[in-house]
Amino acid sequence: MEAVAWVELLGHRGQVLHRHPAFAWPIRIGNTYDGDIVVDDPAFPETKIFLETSSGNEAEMFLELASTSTNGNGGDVPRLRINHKPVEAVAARSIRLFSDDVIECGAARMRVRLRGHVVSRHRLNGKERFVDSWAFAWLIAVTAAIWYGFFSSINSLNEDVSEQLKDPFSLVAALLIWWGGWSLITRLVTGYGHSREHLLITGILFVLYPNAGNVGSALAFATGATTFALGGQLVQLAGVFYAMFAHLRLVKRVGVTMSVLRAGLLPCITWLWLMNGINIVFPEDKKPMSYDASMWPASIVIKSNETAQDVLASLESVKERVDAAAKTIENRVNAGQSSNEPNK
Amino acid sequence: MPTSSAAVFWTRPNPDSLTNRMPFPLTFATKYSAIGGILFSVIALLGTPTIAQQVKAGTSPEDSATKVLNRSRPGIAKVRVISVSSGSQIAIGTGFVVGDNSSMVTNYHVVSDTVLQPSQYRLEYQANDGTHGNLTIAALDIVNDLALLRLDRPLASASPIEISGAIATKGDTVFAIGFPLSKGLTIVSGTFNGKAEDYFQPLIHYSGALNSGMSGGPAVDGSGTLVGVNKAVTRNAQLVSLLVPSSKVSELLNRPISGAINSPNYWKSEAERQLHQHAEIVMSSLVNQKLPTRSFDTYIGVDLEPLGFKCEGVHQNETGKYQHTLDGRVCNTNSWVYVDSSIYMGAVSLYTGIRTNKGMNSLRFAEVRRTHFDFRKKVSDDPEKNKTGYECAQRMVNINNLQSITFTCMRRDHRFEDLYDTTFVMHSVASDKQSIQVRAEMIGMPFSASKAMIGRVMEGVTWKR
Repeated sequence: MEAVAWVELLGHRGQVLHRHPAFAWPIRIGNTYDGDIVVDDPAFPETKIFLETSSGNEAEMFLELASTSTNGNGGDVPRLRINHKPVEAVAARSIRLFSDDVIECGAARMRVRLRGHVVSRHRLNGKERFVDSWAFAWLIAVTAAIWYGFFSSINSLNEDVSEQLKDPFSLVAALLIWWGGWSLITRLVTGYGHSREHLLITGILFVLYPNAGNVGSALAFATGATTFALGGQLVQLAGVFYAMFAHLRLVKRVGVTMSVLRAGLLPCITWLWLMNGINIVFPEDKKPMSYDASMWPASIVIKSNETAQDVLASLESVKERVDAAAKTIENRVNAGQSSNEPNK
Repeated sequence: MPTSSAAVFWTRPNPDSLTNRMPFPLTFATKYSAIGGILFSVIALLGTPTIAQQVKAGTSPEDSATKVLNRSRPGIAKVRVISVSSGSQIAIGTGFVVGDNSSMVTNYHVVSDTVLQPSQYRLEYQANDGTHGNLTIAALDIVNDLALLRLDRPLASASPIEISGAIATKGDTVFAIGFPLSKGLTIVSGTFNGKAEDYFQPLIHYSGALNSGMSGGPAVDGSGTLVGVNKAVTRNAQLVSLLVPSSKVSELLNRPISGAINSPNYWKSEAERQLHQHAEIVMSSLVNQKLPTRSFDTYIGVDLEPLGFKCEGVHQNETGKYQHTLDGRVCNTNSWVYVDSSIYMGAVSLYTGIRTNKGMNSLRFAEVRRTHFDFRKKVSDDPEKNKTGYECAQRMVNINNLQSITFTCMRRDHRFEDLYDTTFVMHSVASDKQSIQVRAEMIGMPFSASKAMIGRVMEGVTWKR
């Protein structure tokens, strides 16, 4: 049976002293032995904390205080703090919580982590924020470097990159893969029970992304089966979509516009430029990644019953691209010649 | 698994050295020097004083090189290519006066810069009597590497080289004249050895020591009659030189000389027209009918030898981790045309080979085949960026019940319309024991003809199983 949440009892420095799984809602926390979680702390007030999920939404908890006071005046209301902020603890009042919120009741401090959720940035501790900020700064720096390299007139391969960008499939795939990658980083920074699973899947994804096409192509050569070439691409796509939906869940939980922007779009663009930038910087024979937009459509739409006529028909589009490139060179040469006309 | 085909290609031992001989414009001529490639050299050097000639006492005056030289000297001049912007000489060759002393013949490759970049280069002549002046182009035969030039004024002291159209006999002594390395007018004695074999264009095999700078000069018999025009020498060979037959000079002289040339790019357009004409002639012998086929072990592939083209066999035995054998044939039309110092056009080559697995597992064999699939890593782009990069298309096909992967790449020199370098590669994937590989390259050929050639190649490949 899997736990629906973990209740972590924290020490004064925030370290986890005990970690208890809870297998069903509501979770009752108290210093009596009829609760799900027993806080053996004499300073814990005689009250009970009920943690319940909102209907259909696993991401929230409601804290209900049940006072055991019998003196009729509201009882001895415990000192209650949520994320270090005092909260008026009124009996039977619902307080909305999120996963990883720190609950201080009396002298006890605890944290409840829901299975399958992560923490938004404003709930990170200092160290976690530092890592998150550093990663963000690195992304900004890489983006700036790639943009500079792209627009530099020194590198005549820029026109090749601009051609690659015109391939919408590759562009979208690159955006999605990085979005998923950032999801992994965020999860690793905050940490929660299933990070290993996501680490494995997204790690495989990052390794396979530049290589799945090559793997599929090699297998296609080996077996003659077109499905291998297609399969290589499907592995990439499957991983991309997994990462995308995983990150969508993260974004949904975070609910902060800036995080969506930071965690989504900017890294996607950075990844795209990083891939192309690497191919620009490295010499032709030492490029770490093989990236050929013209080969993607063929490997996606492979049909083993294509004939010689299909091959010949495909040459028309190749010719068009060559002619367009020749026109570009001609215009450039003519522009250069007009400015270099010798004095007569 | 490596992360890129580029890494695989450069770190693995290349099991197919044949691919190093696959022709591309710059490498085509030099790589095929063993079967008759040609080195064209036009080197810009400073001139040096002519070495004084002496006649040996007792030598027969009828056949002596001295007599020939003395008779021919007045009609031979240096042809200099001058940069318009700097006024400097950038290339030098030889020319000889014909007809009414107002015309001069030389090689096209001597004046190619002026043809293709007329605003940047001009021509001058420098005669042996010190006379010098300007030259303009009057006619071109780019396929046979000839150019007819017009002098700005008749060369009064010249005696035109006689062109009779007679063909010398194998073994006859022929004298090549020119300005080797700009050292001064030089005469070289050699032997006429008849038609050079295995060339599409007619050429004379001349066993004489031609050198750079002599291009465009006359090769004459003992009576001073033109036999041919100095063209080129074969690299890494001894006294294997080539002349353009005098008959081609006669044809050039009989062409109507153009009157008003309105466009500065007129001659470039004319060169392009001739390239198209040449391509049509070459390709019509290939694509108008089914190509002959030949058995390659369990496969059948196309072969150009029955059509009269030169072919040679290839065999390679690879041991170790990539143990396999390679057996094949490479054929080419040897019809390339010099366009400028960096490109040739108008030729077709065809390689068909069988790669036989001698103990590798199927994935490794697949990897070996894949490393030779994408040839683009071995090709250097045109240094002056006149050519586009390669644009390619990959397809997986079923041709004659043979599963194969095809890869077609094209590029073009922006200066010439509808003349493409097209490379078609086809690897079968039906068996992990043996694979047929076909590679057809059409250099500087029209798109429609290249496409037809690819179709002919594919229809000729089958698997006997």
